[in-house]
Amino acid sequence: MSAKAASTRDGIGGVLLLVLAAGYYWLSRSIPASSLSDEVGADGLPIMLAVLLAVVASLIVAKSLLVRSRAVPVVEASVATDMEEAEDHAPILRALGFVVIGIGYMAVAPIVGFAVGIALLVIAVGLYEREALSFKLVAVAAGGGFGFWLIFVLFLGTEQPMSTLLALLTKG
Amino acid sequence: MDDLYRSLALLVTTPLVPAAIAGLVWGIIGGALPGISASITMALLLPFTYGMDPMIAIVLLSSTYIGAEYGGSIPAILIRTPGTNSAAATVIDGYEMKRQGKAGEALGISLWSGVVGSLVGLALLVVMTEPLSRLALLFTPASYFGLGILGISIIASLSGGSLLKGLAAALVGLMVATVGTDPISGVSRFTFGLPDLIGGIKPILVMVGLFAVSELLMQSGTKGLGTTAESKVRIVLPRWPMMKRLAKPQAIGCVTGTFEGLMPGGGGSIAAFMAYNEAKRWSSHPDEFGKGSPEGVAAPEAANNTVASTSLIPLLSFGIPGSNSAAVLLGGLLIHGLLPGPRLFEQHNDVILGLYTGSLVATLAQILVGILILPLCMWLVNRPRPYLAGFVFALVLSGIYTINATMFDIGLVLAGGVIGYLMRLNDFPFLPAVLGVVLGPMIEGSYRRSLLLSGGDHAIFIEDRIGLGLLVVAAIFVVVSLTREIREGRKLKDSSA
Repeated sequence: MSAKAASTRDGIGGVLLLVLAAGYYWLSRSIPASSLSDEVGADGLPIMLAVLLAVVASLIVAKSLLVRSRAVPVVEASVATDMEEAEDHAPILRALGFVVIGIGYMAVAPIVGFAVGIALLVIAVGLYEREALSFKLVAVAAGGGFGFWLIFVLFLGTEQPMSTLLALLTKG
Repeated sequence: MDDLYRSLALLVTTPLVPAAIAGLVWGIIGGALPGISASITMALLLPFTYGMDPMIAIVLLSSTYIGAEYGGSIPAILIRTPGTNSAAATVIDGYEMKRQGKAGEALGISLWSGVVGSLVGLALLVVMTEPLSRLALLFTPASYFGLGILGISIIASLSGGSLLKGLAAALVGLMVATVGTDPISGVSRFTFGLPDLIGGIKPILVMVGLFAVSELLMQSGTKGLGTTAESKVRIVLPRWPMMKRLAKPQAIGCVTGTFEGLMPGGGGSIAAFMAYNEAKRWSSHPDEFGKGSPEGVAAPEAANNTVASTSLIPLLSFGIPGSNSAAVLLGGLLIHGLLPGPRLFEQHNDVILGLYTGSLVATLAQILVGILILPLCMWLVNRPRPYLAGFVFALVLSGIYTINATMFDIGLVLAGGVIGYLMRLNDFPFLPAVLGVVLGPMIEGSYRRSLLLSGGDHAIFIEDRIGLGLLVVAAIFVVVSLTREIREGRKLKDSSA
């Protein structure tokens, strides 16, 4: 990554931290006072942290602006940087897709149950990672779901999502 | 002598041996999978330790750490891809040995050197930790406040990258630690009316999100390794003449490993590279380095395995983890209500004794388990990445659910993963953030208790000599780090001009 692209990222990161500091400060101010509280209060440390983060974030932004202003203005370099920045978005979107699969598991597992949920998760990740839908993928996922259920529910006795669908069917 | 008898009793009266072996196996497998570091391997295991006996849980985690350090060398030697960061130096000569048809010998040297490093590290851990922890008996709340600030400042200064980013990460971690019920007034802070947040955000959720989920997000869409490990390699342990030749680089590895393990923010990878360079400098065959030198494998492997034990010394004595893996182990201790320091040795001596005994069992068992498990590791390393990613993700989600049986925790871990991913993209270090979450309650608690004692007078932080000393050292670390950063920035400017 070029120094300019890196400093742009740092600058954006710094601004995001400033926004976080401002939001956290605003929320800290609304923490209710308590008669049981000490001199510092429940909001004492949060306010201090918000101010410190704002200072550090401002320094990060200032540093990134300084680096950007010092960057050598070569045309080819800036073209390459623009291309780099455009390419940077693809992995971020891919990563977000992965998170969506996780959210999907949160929604589906309580309905279909742990074993089926895990099998569907493995299939979804496989497909998302460009593995073709095949008997092998489904079989491995099904085996994985059963294996996870065997280990975590039956053997270790840990709590895992129960199928509301199965509960409804057995009631009916 | 009494401790020795009690250790022997633990071996037969508790499931310590199976736990040590299970942790070792899990660690070797996790370490052998490229992209899954020792800390991630431990973080994946952490949720499952919730319902366990504290001693068994800690043995499981520490054995995982030991196993992962060796496991990382397997793909480093066989496919030129380090399984863990600390195995990066092993690639140089390990892979060259493999190219010369000596893969089995290289793996044997790595295994043997790992055992030597672990034994030395363990001996230092046993000898140094308790006396150091006694220092903490002199600590007042103001001293603990200074200690917390020192821990965070050192980690922010040394954990790589920019000091400002390290400090920002630490502050965000401290902010996360303020979520939940205020321990003094009982007021809810940043809970947004959600009952799941009243108890605060557990450090384990932050660790799994930052370490494991962010790694999955980073690897999403990347292609597999493209190379496969030969499945017919067998480990060949070094014979006596070779053992004698390896003694010097192993000693160098142990010294650098000890130094880096004790230094917060040091870690196995720095120790391994330092050991490699020093071993080359002191070797009678320096020309062989880079061309398949057995010493070039022995030194870094001894170093990173020494770190696996010595990084626990500041952790157990003062509660300051020196590496990501030590931070995860701290998470394991806190899950079971075990606070590092002298009281841990007094009130939970069985856990400490179990940790030492379990680590010894894992270290000695490493030779046999390492040989037996190699085919399984190579099989796993050769699996297609989409399948591995799916199962690791499944392990993360099912592990997190076991903690409180709530999907809310999974949501928090996914959010932590996204934050970790963004931090990685922008080169923000993780360890300060994790340390902020872990040390946050201690820092706030000791700060407020100090002011309660002094009637609100901040001079207490200056009057307390230990606290003041620690704060001064923290300030020195920050100033030195800042000066170094400015100097490096100037150098970069001069070279580009």
